[in-house]
Amino acid sequence: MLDFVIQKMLNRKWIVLCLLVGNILLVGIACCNPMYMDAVQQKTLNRNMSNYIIEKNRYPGTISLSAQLKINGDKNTAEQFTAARDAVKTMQKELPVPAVMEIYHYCIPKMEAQTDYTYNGEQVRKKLTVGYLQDLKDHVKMVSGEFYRDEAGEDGVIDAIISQKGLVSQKLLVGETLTFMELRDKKGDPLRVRICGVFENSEDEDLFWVNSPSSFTSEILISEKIFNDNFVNYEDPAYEMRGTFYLLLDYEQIRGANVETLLSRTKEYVNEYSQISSVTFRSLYQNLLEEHQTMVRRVVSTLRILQVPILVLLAAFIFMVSRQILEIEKNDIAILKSRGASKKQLIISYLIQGSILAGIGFVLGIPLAIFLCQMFGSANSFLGFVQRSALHIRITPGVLLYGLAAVVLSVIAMTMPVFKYADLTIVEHKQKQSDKKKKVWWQKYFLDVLLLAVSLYGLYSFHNQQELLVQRVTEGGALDPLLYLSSSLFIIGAGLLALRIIPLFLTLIFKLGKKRWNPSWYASFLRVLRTKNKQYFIMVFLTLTIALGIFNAKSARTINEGEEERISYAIGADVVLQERWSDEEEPEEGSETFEDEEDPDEENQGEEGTDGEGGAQQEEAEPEQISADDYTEPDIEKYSSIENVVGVTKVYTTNDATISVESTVDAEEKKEVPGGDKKKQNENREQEGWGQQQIMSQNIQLMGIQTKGFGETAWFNEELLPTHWYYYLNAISQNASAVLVSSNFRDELGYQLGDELTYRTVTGQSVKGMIFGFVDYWPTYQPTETETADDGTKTVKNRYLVVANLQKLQNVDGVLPYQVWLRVDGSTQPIYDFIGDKEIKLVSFSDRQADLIDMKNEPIIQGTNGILTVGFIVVLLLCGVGFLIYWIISIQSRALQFGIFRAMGMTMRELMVMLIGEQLFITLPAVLMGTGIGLLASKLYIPLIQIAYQTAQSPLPSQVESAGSDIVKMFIVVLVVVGVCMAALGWLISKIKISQALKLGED
Amino acid sequence: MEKQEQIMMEARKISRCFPVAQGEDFYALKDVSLQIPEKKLTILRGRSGSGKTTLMNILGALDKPTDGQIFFDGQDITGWEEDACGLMRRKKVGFVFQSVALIPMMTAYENVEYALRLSGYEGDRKERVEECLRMVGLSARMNHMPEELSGGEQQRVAIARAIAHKPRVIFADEPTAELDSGTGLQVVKIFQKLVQEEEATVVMTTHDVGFMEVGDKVFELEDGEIISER
Repeated sequence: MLDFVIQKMLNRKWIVLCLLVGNILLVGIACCNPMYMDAVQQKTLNRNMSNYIIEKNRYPGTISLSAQLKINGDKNTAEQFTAARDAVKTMQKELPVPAVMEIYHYCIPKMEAQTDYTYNGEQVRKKLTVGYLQDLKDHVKMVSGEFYRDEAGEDGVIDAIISQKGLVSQKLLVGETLTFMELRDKKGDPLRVRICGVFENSEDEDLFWVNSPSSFTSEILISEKIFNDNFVNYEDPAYEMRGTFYLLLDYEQIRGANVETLLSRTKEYVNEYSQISSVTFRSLYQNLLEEHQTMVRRVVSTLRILQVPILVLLAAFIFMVSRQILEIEKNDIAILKSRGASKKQLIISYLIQGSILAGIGFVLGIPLAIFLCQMFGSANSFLGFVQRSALHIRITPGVLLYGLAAVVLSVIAMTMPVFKYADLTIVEHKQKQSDKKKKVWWQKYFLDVLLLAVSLYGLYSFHNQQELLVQRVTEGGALDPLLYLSSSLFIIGAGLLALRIIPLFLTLIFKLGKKRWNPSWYASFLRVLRTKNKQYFIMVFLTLTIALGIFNAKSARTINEGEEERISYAIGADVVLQERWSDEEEPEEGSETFEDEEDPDEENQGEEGTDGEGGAQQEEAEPEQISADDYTEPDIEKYSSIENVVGVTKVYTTNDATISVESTVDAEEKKEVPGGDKKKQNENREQEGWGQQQIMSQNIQLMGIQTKGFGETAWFNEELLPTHWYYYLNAISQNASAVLVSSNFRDELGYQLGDELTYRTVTGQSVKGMIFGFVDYWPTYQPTETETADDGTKTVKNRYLVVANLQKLQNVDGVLPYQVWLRVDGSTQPIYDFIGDKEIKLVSFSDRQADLIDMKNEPIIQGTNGILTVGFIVVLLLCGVGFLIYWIISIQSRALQFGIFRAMGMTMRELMVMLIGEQLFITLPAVLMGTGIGLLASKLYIPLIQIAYQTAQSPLPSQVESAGSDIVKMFIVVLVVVGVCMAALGWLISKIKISQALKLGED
Repeated sequence: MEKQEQIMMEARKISRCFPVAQGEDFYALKDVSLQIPEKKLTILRGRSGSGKTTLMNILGALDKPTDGQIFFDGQDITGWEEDACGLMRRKKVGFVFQSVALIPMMTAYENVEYALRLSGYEGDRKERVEECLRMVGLSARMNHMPEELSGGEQQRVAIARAIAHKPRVIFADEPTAELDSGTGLQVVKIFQKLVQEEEATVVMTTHDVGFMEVGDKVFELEDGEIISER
């Protein structure tokens, strides 16, 4: 049987090869999704984790269990700590990621210590924490003095070391002795401690220092043995004591496969320990991983949705090619049947054939998948690639599973058509040949109309619940896949429908010139019109290829440009930076502690946040009155000297300016109030009500600009406003108090052009402005803001914008810190160099180019570009292969016919013209229809696809991009494919010998 | 009498050899010389494999001899290009093949008309098509597709197509082979009628000894050689 099958396959090597190509592609495409996801997951996980290290200076794999002992506790101190320690050991066993380090830190916080000297007649006292870190010796280097001894000295004084920072901030000296009146040693005497040395970390990058040495500002460290002897191993806890057990998990070992387990275990711990008030459990990675999981779910669902049409097309391709093969082999089948082969034997023989092909497809498909994944990883736009660091691709069990699924699918697709043919005997076969006029099944059951209806329903329901969908996606939820699939359904449905229309159209042309067509064209027309069922295969593929290509190109372009625009809009210019204007001490790097425990002012152990951000001190306490006197204006001119910088402008922006708004008032009265007496308003604001009206202070975004410079520097899409935005700039440049305001001033608050508006700046000054224009969009301006309350409910809040002249604001407020916006022509690197060289201290810095590159590197964008491109190439490849199969079969099966034409005196040239005519009548309408369908589908469905990419709510209107150059690129590719096919066919035809062809007919 | 007879075609010492496996050549025709008279029904008879179809294909310029010369209507066409032969065929030659060789996507009418299109027939094509189909007795079924016609009917359409453009010579390769004897006779009668009424030259191959009587001239072939001539 096997020999027979292999022989049969060899006899049909070309078409079998085509089938094999289909199989390889199917496995490749099916496998590259899980493969890519695995690789990307690994890459982003590692990147997020190492970014975390850079940004937070903390090891993201850290978990900690902190046990708090109260004085009136009834348990043995040592036992309690041992229990917590054992719990951490258990975690280490339970968690799927190995630990790289364990760190124990015991301490008695904030005890009063007396120094030996007095100041102003009083004994100087300090609050110091006494603690120890296990294995400290291996991780420190003594800057001065020496490391502590494990025994108390002869005088009973204990050695202690302190960090450099601690030494300075506590104003201590090496060799100084401190007495802790409340701490007793074993003999019951007050504990005496001598500072014997100053330490720093022995290596720069030492995981041991979960809290860096410089964060030990008020802690002295003593020997573990002494600590335990004196404080821990007692029957009753005598002091408030804390033991913290850190477990550092190797974050590089966190993989797609174990993230789920790691997260769920971690959450169990969080739940478990949240019920025990004396124990606190924290993990740094939980948020990171949860965000990561959300991202992965989004990417997976999005990519799958983009992939489905390709997979469906591939399966259909394999099915159709198999049918074509059977069409050629049906004579053989009928003969085999008449010679006594059973249906079962026939099916088995085809099953073997299918399995061989699918097996080879599996073996070759996986390397192809690896290649495709690398392509995904370097995709930058539709049909555009860049050099990027290669993805680390692994063949996971999931990949093999997908591959196997593809193989099974393919074997089914290849064997299914056999059932129909295996029933035929030679007689039935001859009879079958004569009912060619039968309608194809999809037309008989109106599948095309059905598909279109379903897809249009999807579109309809999308329009009805658009806002809900946007909200769901921004919350990280996935979309209903059916809604997405509707674009594919539409393309397929419309493609099939086109097949009803194309013949009608061709018939019309044929009838118009029936008398005049030359023999070649006449034969082409008749061939295409009378045997149309045979051409559906190739026409469907052509139509779908073109339609899908256009759709993919436009989707990719729209998604990429939409994202680019969103980022550019949000930043406002190529580079936006703000220098540090005051000399206030900046928070020193690394001084943050893992937990807030070292914070001297607070007793907040019980309510420590779970966000792992510990003692971030950057939240500036808002001073009541901001004054320009606190700041010194830096020189801004220096920026224009930087290479590549072509525009510099000052932009003052704040969200803390206010206007007064009345609620429950109608528009007419509303606008009276802002202009009213300021004092009165202030009083009224304090009160609960003022008659029926309530006046509230509404925060606004106030922007002070230099109109000319702003126009030259800011990034703004001129199509966003009804007229060019320069008109708006010009309008306010003429009048110092002219302002532009957001449209909601008009729509919500009832202002009109020319109205006077009073707003309060951050210094509390009231400023009058004349409204010269309403804008829906303005660089950086987000019209609405979604606020999430603690209970998870979201409210959408309007944001108000006032754009005024910078000069005017500075006249009122003085010069307050403003941003510098730069327009850059070329690389932004010189700016980084400049800032580095001049040691300019920045409060904020945004680089549009860098953000755009980051965006392109986002897995969802990268994967989308990759899959749209690869999908298109695959479809094109299929189309080319399908095209070749169709024509090879068509020409081989028509050898006799060509013989007749030749015998009747047709020249080779006329024969070629006839074939070109056929090509034209098949290809041209299919290409035209495909183009039309692609354009229509893009118009209807791209806004729907775009929803999936909205990471943040974008204020910008969605707009389907034209992607003209991409479409041209695609047509060139199609043309090349058709051209290559034609060349191959010409060669094939020229090999046909008439006399042999006619002989063929005799058999 | 025989001297006055016009010669339509002549083969001079033609051979046709096909390369077979193992480098041996197979000679389908060996040094065959013959003359086909104009406006006569010539029969090439022989068993299958005797070389009669090869001979006819060469005479009809569908195939080239490996050796020897072919004259058609006084012209030496031996070295002609394939396309030149094609142009000659469409004007001057009509073919009827053993297996029915209609163009499957055209109706009976269109099949016949197609020959007229190809030859650039000057007159009223519709009239001529109908005339030819009437001649073969198929006026009633002219709008049927080939697959809807019986074997004999298809063969008659093929004949109508072969004669439509008034060719000088009609070649018929075993036109009766797949037909029952009654239909076969009918087909041969049509050829006789053509020779008499349309003054066509007809060359027909057959393995059937029964038809030898109807030919004006009969060549008998065996193993690529003419063994008798009458």
